Amino acid sequence: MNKTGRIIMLVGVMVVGLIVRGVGLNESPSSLGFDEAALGYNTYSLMETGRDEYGNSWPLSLRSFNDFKPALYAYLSIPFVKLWGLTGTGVRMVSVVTGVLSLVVLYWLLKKYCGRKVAIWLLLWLSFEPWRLHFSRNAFETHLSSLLVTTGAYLLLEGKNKWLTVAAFVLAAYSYHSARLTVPLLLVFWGADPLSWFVKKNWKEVVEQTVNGLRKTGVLLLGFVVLLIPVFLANSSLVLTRFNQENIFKRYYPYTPKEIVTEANPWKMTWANPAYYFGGLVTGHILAYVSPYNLSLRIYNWVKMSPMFIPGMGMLGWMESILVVVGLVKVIGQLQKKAEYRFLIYWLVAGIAPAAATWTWYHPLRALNIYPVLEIMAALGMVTLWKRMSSLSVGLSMVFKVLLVVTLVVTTIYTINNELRYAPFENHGEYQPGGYKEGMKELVELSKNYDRVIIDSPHAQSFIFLLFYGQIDPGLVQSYANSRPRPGIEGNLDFNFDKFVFRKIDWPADKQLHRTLFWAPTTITEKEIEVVDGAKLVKTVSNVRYETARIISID
Amino acid sequence: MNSLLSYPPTPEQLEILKLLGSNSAVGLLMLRLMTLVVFGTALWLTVRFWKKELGGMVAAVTGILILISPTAWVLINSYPVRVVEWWLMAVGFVWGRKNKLIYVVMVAIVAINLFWLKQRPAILNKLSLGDAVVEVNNRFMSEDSLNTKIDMPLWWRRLGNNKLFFVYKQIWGEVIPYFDVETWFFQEVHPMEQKSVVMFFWPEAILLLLGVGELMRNSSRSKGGAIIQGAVVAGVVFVFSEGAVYQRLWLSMWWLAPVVASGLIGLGKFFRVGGVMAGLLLVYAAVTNFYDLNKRPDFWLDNRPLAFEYWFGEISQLDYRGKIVVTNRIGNSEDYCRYFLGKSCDGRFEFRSFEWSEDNDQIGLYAGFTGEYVGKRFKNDFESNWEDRLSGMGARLVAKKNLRDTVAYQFGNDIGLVIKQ
Repeated sequence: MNKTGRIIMLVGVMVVGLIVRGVGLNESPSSLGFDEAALGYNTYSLMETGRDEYGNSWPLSLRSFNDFKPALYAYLSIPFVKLWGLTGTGVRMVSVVTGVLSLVVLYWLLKKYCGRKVAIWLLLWLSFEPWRLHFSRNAFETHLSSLLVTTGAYLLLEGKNKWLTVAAFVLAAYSYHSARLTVPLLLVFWGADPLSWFVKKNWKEVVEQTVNGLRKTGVLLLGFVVLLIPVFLANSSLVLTRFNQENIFKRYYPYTPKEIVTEANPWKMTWANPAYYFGGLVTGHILAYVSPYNLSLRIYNWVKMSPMFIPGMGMLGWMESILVVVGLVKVIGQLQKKAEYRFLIYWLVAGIAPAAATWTWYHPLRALNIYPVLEIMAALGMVTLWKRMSSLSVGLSMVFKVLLVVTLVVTTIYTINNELRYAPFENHGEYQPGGYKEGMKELVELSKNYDRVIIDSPHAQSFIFLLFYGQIDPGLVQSYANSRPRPGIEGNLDFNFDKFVFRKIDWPADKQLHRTLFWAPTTITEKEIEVVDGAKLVKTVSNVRYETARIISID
Repeated sequence: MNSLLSYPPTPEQLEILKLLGSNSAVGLLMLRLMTLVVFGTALWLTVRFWKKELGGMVAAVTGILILISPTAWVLINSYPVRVVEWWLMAVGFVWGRKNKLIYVVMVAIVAINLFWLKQRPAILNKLSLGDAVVEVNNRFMSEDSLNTKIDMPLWWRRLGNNKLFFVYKQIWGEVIPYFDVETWFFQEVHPMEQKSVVMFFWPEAILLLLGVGELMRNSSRSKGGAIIQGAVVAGVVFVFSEGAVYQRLWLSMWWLAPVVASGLIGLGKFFRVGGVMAGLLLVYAAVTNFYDLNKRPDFWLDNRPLAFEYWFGEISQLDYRGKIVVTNRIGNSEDYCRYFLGKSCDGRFEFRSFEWSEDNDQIGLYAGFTGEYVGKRFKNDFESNWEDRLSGMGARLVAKKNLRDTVAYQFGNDIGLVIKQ
């Protein structure tokens, strides 16, 4: 295929990619998660007032649920929220665009690793990977960060433009926390190039090359650190608070299974010493990310209970997860000869590091920066497989190739169906509660005629859905900033403001109230409402599958 | 507390003991010794094969790695058929690799699983389309049941949601678990607290990566071929088997061990101190794991034989003259009775599951689970003082023990002996 053909095809892949990522964003995923709603509302708040929901002027991090989300995603969402309003489409559009742009960077990388001839075909195949579709259709800061890390990594590998490289990396760090560890590690690894030490003749040569390498990437590292200082000045202690909650050290202590600990101080044990088991935990946390089983099939409960869960599939396709192993073997085999292969290993380790430092064994969202690397490995595996097929007799080769292509096409169709149509069936629930989209706007409209609105919701942080779907005036919300739970407080962060009260409804007692509006669970029956003077069931709200709440009024 | 050596026989061993006509502790000891001999021969063949393929050092280390694996010793101790399967695989590779006889051996091993061990691997249901039909229907129904959804033409949906593709998908679902890095290398710290036995110690995961590099650097294509062939044979056997995951994955040690060994040798060649340190770490890991295995055999091993040991141990001390019912809920209790009590296992005994809440059982001594006495519970959530309810049923608890794991789901983790008066 000539250059024009390749460009046309690349544009085609991007257009199809845009359609698949951008269609029906209000319907699938069926409702917003609370983090998505928070990003959306803060975007709205910034757009309207230049301040976040707490009244902080043009912040670098959004305090949000006291988790201090890096703010870049929200800033980039302003034009989309302006265009589509506070809707699923408005808040998810940055992710869509990120997903489409990431295809271009993936194409560059595939060209670099697999050659110009096959890169576009490999892109066509990989552009529909489950994780690419899923993360493009949800508002995730980590997805934006992943695009920027990938761009920076490509520029670093090519050694093309230092300032652009630093810019991409810095923006990545302003998009999501994990880049703040991944980028420095990658720069140090690439500068020191430790895997090349094995082929050096003597230590002098090793030291010389390491110093020279570090000098080159050190400039980039310095630029990165300097440009990141404002973030650390703003909320470094809170980053530590978060680390204290999530780190690997605390959760598993004393690391040795408790039943075989025989000493009061387990570190004094000769056999089954905690150091041995801790080593296993760390190694396992790292290698879990190259396990085909984890990549495509196994669902850990902390993944299942979160927005990163892809129902019916894993992050990668089934065949891809095995091809990653083939590619990894190829990469390891050529580590000594090819610097770009060593780069992949550095990128992989640096990308895993932020996730490996936390207690969860396999946490795709925190390690999203590595999936392009795994895709490149899968692509290398596919090239090897294709070559192996080509070495067979013509007839047999053709049969296998046709079978392979048909399988990939059908898998792609399945993946699209799965993400767009099936996923909402399994994914509604705790983090995509549903019902708010269908009822909150009406609740806020009605509230004008009542003195009090009581909201009883089983979902954490339900206030954010009221703010989002009710398009509550940011100025009003900001004026309550001082009465909201302080940073460091965990649990439900609902807060009462204006006439809105978040609490459990005690119907026998609350039915005595007047001029009150309720967002109530469906356990309060129509009969119980009918018998109360002045009470009326305004609406029963459903999510994608069942009734979730009732709007009740008492005059 | 049982140690590995005093662990009671598994159903597989009882079956063989019955065939040999020596259903006793002495018979079990003899069987274990025979299994050890078979394993020794298999290990010798394994080393011989890999010596030819990858050199003497790698082969020797391969042998040591298998020898220090807890899995090998658990299988020698309790699962002789798996050891025989390794032996067959070794024979197949030594004499049948070039003439493809190894694939006949592979089929033979699968046949052993299906017909001797009477396993019913999940893949058979997948291949018969049965599961696919159900899953496709469920998927369509699930998608259509949504209140709001993205509309897509039916023909497009059918392209992805059809029986044939779902069979393909489900086959992947059976194949991919073979590449179970966690069970291979991280059972010591398994993230899902899976009940299995350690195959490789975690430092061997790093050595595996080094081994890949070492083999890719030094080996010819045919040597790599032997490893891939081993992976394929072990993979097919895995897919066509069922049961404890370490037993299904056991043959994968055939090809993983030499790669790990190559990593250790390669490390030693490049950085002698590193190689020695890694070797010492493996020795440390082996001692630590065998220490753990002997300290907590009920954590690592199947608890069902332990339950039978407990029941029959208590019965033999009771001198009860009436009817004795021993549950069959977790295996053939009659075989265990013959093993533990020999000729005392007379007509007084009945070997069957029971549920007092449903049956009108008669007077006798009953050995069973909590749920069999007081009624099963869907979530296994029995109160700790469940025996207080027995007096109201005209029964009396004689002995009780708590098992570590759920071996009779819905019937609780307590086993007991209760006399109904």
